[in-house]
Amino acid sequence: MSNLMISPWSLVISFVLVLIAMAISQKEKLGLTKEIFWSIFRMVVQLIIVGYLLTAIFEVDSFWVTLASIIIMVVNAAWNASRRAKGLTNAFKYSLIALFLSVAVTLSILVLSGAINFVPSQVIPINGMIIGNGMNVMGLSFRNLENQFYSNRQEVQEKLALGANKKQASKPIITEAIKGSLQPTLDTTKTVGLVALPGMMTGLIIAGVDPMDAIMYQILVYFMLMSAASIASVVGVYFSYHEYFTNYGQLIVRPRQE
Amino acid sequence: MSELLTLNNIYFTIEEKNILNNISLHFSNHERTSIQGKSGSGKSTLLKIMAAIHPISQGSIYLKGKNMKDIDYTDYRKSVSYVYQTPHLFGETVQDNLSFPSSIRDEVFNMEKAQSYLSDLGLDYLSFSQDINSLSGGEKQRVSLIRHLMYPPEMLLLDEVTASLDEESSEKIWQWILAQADRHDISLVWVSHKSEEQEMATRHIVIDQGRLVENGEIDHV
Repeated sequence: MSNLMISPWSLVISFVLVLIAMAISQKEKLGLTKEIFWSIFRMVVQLIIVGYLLTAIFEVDSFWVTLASIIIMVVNAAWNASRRAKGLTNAFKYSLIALFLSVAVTLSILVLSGAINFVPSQVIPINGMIIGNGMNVMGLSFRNLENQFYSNRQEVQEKLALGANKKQASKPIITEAIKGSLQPTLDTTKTVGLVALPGMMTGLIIAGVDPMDAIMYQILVYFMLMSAASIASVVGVYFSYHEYFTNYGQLIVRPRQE
Repeated sequence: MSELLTLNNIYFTIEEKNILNNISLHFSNHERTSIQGKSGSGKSTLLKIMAAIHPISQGSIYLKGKNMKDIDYTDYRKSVSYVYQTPHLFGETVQDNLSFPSSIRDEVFNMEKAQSYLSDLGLDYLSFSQDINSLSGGEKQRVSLIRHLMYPPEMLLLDEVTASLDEESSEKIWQWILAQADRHDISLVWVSHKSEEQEMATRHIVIDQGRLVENGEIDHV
């Protein structure tokens, strides 16, 4: 099998694919033509920067530079996750702790098991997958928690009125928030390969790796996503739910955040 | 009668509006107190403040001489318990609700006691595994009351608990509440618009626009 190499010219000609999207927007008067163009432009610029950065990091091949890259990626992901938690004062802190823990546990197991080596060309892309999924899971956790506390506010208050503590009053809500945030990861894992081939496997096969070797990497990816998502969700929810209560265990009912 | 609950200069403010204005009250055990006032006068809010469901904006509350802030909030609410007008039953079954108070205390659910309370309130036909969604409003209110009295509090705050019930159900519930209050020495404070329920009180408190306008013992002739 030969490796696939895309030339810059092939990429330029492939831009016709974007033109198709822009043409559809024009014809259907969706008003998205400019947005399609600018989002593609932004994506290209961002990926060029990332490409040069990764090339430099891989060339340096330093433990500390790799570690710093991981930290920067986690901080950025935590920042993005926290923006989905409207109304939670410490969402950034919770996201940071949850994502750091999830990355630390998952990467440690992967490196110690010999599944990957602690080299930038392996650790950084893997870390990217972990935190990308983790960020989405955290955003879902925050939203689920808020919706659950809003919908079930009387139940929580009735349990508090019976003498329950915050955790006892919130247990079903905590459970549903975690379950709801993990469901997309579970659904994706269950249906992988049935509808479409996942990204890691696709990339390896295109690069010339034997499919039976490629699937082993893909299986590894789903193991790590399951672990990372579970850790991020549980840690995030258990930190966050306290913010729905005063120090005296009174439920703070926020107006519904849109 | 010993002093049970004291409210000192209580204010409760939402969005710069005073819902409760400078309320000071003392409650003792053995009391039967009815709180009256027009809709929106702050009666329910007062009960919720007393039960520490809402935080106070200003003032202090003392339970048996101890500042509420110095009492663990779960212990406070086990002593001063608020009953909602339209209760929300949780979980799936009657047992999920009646066993909740024992579960939060890490104790075993007393099925015999729960069964006898169900019987007292005319609910012998309900099984513990009954789906709560199949219960009527009156049945839910009775299950809610039993939930609050599986471990009798020192003060029970009843917020129009019979408002949506017929006369016969209301009377049965009140007979049971008063009997439990006598047996377990519970101080009762309730809000009700029904004159027959107001007449059961030994003390009336009247609230108007968040202010205390009347607070007195009643001489029943």
